[in-house]
Amino acid sequence: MRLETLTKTSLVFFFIVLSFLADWQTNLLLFAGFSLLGALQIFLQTEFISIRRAYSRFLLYAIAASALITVLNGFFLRDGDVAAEVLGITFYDAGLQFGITTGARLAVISVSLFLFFVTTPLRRLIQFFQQAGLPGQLTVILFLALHFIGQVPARISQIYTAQEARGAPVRGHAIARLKAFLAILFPLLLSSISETLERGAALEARGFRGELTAVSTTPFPLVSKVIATAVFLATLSLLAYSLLP
Amino acid sequence: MSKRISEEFSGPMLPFIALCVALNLTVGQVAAALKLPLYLDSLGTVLLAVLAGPVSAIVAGSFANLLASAMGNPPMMFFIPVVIVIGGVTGMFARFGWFRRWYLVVLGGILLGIPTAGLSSVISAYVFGGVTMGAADFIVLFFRSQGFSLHQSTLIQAFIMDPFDKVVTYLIVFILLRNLPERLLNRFPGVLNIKPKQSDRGLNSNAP
Amino acid sequence: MNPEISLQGFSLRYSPSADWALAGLTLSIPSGACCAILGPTSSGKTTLLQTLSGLLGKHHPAAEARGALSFKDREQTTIPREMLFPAVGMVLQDPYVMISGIHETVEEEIAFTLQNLGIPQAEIRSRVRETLSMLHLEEFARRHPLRLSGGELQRVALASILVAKPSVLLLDEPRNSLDSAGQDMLARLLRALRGTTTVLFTDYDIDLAMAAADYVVVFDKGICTYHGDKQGFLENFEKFSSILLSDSWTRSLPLLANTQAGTSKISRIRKIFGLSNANT
Repeated sequence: MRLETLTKTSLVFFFIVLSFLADWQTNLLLFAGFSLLGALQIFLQTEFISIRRAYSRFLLYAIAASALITVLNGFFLRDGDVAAEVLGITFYDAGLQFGITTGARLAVISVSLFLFFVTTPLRRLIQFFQQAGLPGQLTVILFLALHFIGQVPARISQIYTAQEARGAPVRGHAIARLKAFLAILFPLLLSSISETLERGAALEARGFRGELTAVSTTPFPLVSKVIATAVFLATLSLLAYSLLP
Repeated sequence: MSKRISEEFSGPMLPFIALCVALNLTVGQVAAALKLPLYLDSLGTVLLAVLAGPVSAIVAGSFANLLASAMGNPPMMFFIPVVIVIGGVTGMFARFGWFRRWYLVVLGGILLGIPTAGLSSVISAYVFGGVTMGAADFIVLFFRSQGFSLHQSTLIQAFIMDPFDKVVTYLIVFILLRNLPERLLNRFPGVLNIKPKQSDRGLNSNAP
Repeated sequence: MNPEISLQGFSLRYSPSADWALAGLTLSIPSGACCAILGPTSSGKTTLLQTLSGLLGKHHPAAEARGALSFKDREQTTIPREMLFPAVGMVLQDPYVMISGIHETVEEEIAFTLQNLGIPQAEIRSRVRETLSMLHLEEFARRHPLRLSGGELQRVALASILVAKPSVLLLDEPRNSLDSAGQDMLARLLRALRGTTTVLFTDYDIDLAMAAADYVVVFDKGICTYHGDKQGFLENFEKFSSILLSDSWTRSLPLLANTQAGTSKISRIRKIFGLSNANT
């Protein structure tokens, strides 16, 4: 099933709000449901092995992190009754309760955002912002940011290698590593700033005035608008209900 | 749009704003790769606030946090209010001329660390229960085990780390600006934040 | 023929306290001519192109100029303070920065220039096709610009300005990323533009100038030491050889790595153009 970006955005918003209002049992159920839905979507419809691996890693990470949050809070927060004693380590009720509530909530937030972003390529996301009325300049910034996010690490790697070749102490003690860091950072910043100004001049040389007229924007489909409005109203109702005494 | 804001978002400035978004997302990773205890995830925001202005700094910082969420670190988008404070306050300090003297830069970093610590601790406590999946979580847990409340613990953790990180970020930007060639510096609307405007003398003197 | 660009005692410096980057230039470039601006690094070649495009005046408000600069059909001025695009188009030295980073195909990248100018979509399509064919870029039309080689990228950069059909085309060291086939193609293109577009290009070598230019300007430390046709340049080559073979120039030019190599190159050029070595 392919959901439109507006619909997905409204649903993510709804589930994030819900995760704060629901108890941990509901959140764990939501997490399990999303994980299953995501697995069906990714493993049945995506042939990219890298995405499948990323999703599997994410699920393992989310489950491990939630468990760790629960255990650590159970150990450190020594309030309430003793809940359990494992290998001589005592876990307390209030800490476990707080840990599992926080862990389950974070798991729901993470899985819903992960599914949103993994099914929405960044370029599609920027076009969505543009459809939603983001000014032309800001759309250009986002497109250019994607470009630089791809380029800057490559430049860092070049400078890092050059510094390593010059014998910069990239693996020495803290002060030496700080010096090595600055030796990477300053060439990176100076060369990048110089290049962006050149790029700005080149954009001007091509008649660019800061407005993006290139990408045509189509309005949101009516169905998506109706669903998004309904979900938004449901979220508000949920919030209002939770605030009732 | 006011003249100041349209200057910040003029065509030639857009690639620089985009670069600052990328710097926020990548420089911290270099520090982490070298095992340095620095976030530096607001370096681009601070640089932009000084060289261009607060509005573009807030925009770049917010975009960086949004993209960080999209690229595998979901909690980042909840910290956008902190970015707004960093961009706004730094833009104000820059306009006061605080980026012309190193001791004012240090003072500015410490002062900025106070509201950002307060705000990030509130978000960290009430949105994430003090858990942001980083090493700082252990500091929070430690203070909680000592009997401090959740918010007190996140606040102490933020006060330990935020001012230090902001002072380092401010100093890096200060040193960078001191070393930026004048021909590059003069291209930015914020050039007056760093030195007195020399170009005033030349504006009307191009008669043959 | 009316000169397309005319400079009368034109001097320029970046600020009132700086040295003159260009000093007392007097030259005129005829309409539709191809002019090579030769000289070593930091001799003022790029400064002249940036001044003519409006880029320098816009970004260096402290820059001041003396003398006169005029374009055909435009009021005489000292220094343009706004970009003169699309009348004057400039391709910067680094083709990589000419790519916007916003678009995902070469075709879209070239169309971007015309979209900025508010040209209707149907015309954009036909002009992009025409430009792709002119620069032999048809096979790359659907490729991502940043996945091209340096030479191909240079051609896309050129296409992104040529598509706007400027009456004056400024090229800053266009030969830099091109292999020999690319340089031949560029020379053919410059010859094809003769008569319709006034072209000024900078270079630190004389090969492209010999292959494509009608006029040659030689710069040294911001001063014009020669301005005239190619034949006159070759006949008086010795006068400029100390500039063109100066240390700073030879350092950046492997072909002229030492005076002996430089001399043999001059002899080769003389041979090609049937000139005697009598006054060497």
